[in-house]
Amino acid sequence: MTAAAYVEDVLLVDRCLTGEPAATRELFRRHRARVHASLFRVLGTNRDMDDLLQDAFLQVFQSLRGWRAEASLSTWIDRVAVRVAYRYLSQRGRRIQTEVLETDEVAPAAHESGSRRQLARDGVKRLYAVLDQLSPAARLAFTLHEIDGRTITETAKLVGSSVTATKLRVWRARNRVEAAAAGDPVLSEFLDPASEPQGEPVPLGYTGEVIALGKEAS
Amino acid sequence: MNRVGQRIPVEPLDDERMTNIERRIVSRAVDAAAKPVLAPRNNTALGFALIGLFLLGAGFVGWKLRGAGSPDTTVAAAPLRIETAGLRSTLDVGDASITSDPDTAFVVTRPGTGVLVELARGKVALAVGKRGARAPLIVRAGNTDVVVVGTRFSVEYVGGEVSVRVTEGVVKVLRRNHSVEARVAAGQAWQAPQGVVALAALPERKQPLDTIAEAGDREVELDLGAPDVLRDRVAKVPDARTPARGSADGAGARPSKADQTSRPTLDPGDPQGDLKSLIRAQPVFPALDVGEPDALKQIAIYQAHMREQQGEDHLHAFYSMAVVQSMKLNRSADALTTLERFMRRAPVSSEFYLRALWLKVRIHCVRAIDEQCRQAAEQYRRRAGDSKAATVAELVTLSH
Repeated sequence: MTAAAYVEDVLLVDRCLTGEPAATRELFRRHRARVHASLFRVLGTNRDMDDLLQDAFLQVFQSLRGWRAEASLSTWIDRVAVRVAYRYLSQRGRRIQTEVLETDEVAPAAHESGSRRQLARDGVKRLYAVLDQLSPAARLAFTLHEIDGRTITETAKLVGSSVTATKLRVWRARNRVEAAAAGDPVLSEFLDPASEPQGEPVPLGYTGEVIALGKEAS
Repeated sequence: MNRVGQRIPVEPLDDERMTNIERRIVSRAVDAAAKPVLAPRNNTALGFALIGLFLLGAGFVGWKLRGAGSPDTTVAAAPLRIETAGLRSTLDVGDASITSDPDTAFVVTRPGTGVLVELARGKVALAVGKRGARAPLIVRAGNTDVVVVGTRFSVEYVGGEVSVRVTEGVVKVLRRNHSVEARVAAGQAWQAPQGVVALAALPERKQPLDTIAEAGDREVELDLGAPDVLRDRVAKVPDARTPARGSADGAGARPSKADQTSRPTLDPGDPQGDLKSLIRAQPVFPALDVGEPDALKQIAIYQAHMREQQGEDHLHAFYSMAVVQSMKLNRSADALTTLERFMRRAPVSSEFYLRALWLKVRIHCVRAIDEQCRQAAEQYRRRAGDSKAATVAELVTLSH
């Protein structure tokens, strides 16, 4: 984070704490897209998003005095939003209705053909149907890491867990999804790891997974 | 399953929905922010303090005070302008003490719960109490901002150049227009022609800032030659220590109290002794406890563990070899080789990877603050996030 951005955050928070409406509006506008995107990826739908987004930012403004300027403002806001999402998931139970995806709520890239578009829609729906089965903590860890693209460490900080616990949750959730995909060709096609670029494996070091260190070390 | 997120584009909310959300949030947030204003009391207290100081007549000759504002307004709307003429003077604003040199001019305002000191010319030295939940204190000089949470430091603004000098604690420095963050320890100085932002993360002040004499008597030298200040800080700086003294952490026990809290003698001939002491003060994650005091036998046990174990246990054993080689056997070269092999194979996301990076910093930098040390520190700093060790690593990267 640059120094100028940091000072800007500090001064903006100062203004918000005085109750200045323009400052409050400015803070909301700066962070709403990112927070919305994260919440969307956790839930898979914009249903209830109005309430969720509102709750998240109201919590931000109520807790703004607690921002000690030692973590970046965006990270702090994300943490608040994740806590609100967790509460929402816990209160609503594990099942978030994802059937609204039938109504084209997920918009794949414009260049995709109609069949691929349909595949994407179905795949997302099925993926989130599996995620509905997870505990709120597991769902948050998995979606923040695998879908929202956060590192394990970032995810752990956002959800307030240890890195080890977060890794375990992600690993177990991933196993659940892969097990579901094994019996669901649509989901499997959507996930389609074979067509993904071969990136660095994510060795978690738990049962069944061998870390690259192996037995070469002596 | 990598990159699943790329296949799930976010469906945006339409403008009307977002606008409605915004309106509700702003309305309720503004209501929630309404609170009794403390500032008038501070303003009144400040006024009495100033009057009292003026009547005492010590150190306040030559002040010009303007713009006090009405008692009904918040302090933010009532800037306090101070210009000192021939004498050093001190202003106590309640949660900070500002000592100004002769021929200094500055303005103090209180935006929200923060404090803004705009330095037009000259030099001010500040002692700032722990801010807690309040917004930081900011000193602005030209195009430079120094943002503080709580520390003792000075800012001088002369000829377009800004110098920040820390006399207590550690100050975090953010370079404007750069992505580098660094922390400057007490006794060191930071000077830049533009764009310095610093904040401090310090333990709470033990004494309140309530005595003008305390602030006024303290000398704050603007001496950009760090060794001059280090000479006066023997009592506070952990003594330098050579690696040969060893430590008790190689057997898997926690680092001994002696290792963590000893105050080896500062070597006045080592201009980087302060930095090395900071490095030594950071704990090294202990080696795996295998119940064997003999270092060579420990290593053999670790090697057996590595063949038999997987996952974190394997990593711990591998890492432990390097710890014992470095801390017990004093074989830095072997330890570095082990660490290089470890880091080629260990997952970057592993906590032991980070611990290995720190051990590498320690091995290099205790020997010398050279290019290898700085590279190791930079590697660590990038991954470590916010921690004391990361702070020290930042200092190392800025040392020269």
